[in-house]
Amino acid sequence: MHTRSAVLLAGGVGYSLVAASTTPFTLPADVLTGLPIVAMAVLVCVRWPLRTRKVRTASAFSSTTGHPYLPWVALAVVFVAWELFNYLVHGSRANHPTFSSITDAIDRFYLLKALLFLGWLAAALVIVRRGSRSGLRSRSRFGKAASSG
Amino acid sequence: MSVSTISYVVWAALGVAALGLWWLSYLRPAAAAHPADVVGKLASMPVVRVLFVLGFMWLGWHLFAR
Repeated sequence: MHTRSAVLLAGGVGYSLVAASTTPFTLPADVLTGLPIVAMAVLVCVRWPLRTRKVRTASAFSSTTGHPYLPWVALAVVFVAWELFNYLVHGSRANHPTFSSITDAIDRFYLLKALLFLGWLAAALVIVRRGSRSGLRSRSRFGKAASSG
Repeated sequence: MSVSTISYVVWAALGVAALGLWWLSYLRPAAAAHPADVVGKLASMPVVRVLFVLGFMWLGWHLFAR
């Protein structure tokens, strides 16, 4: 494992363990959750390109290699529909758990909450990287290779 | 089977489906895109990428702070 990745992982695990020890609706929870959000906002503003049109044109390969995004779109639609149904239907939350109520239950266990927080941090890192100039360029190269091969 | 059990079974099925798609993305990338590529696709759409990032930030705030 690269040194940079190891440092990121160790930092993320340490931060998640501290953040998981906080209680929602308190100042420490606000600060420790707010810091990554602010950091993400800054990184997105600094590293993401202002315009994406050229990248989108170069990476438009789905028409030649099938529809690899379609299963994820379908899953997202079902997820949102099920979440809305459980949120709006009459009855107790115990009978109709939402995604939030399930994660609330998970948050009662310190290590599971730390894992969930670490997953959120890792996903934020992936989002920042994939949307950055270099991330979009590598995607467009993949797209060209996929459409030619 | 109670209403509660059915609800949890559907949630579990959604989780398994997500993991299955993730696994499939390694076996057959043409059938299912890798999650990081899905993120890259969303990040390349002008309006969607802003909504996606804002939604992701809100999710963290909602899950851990409020």
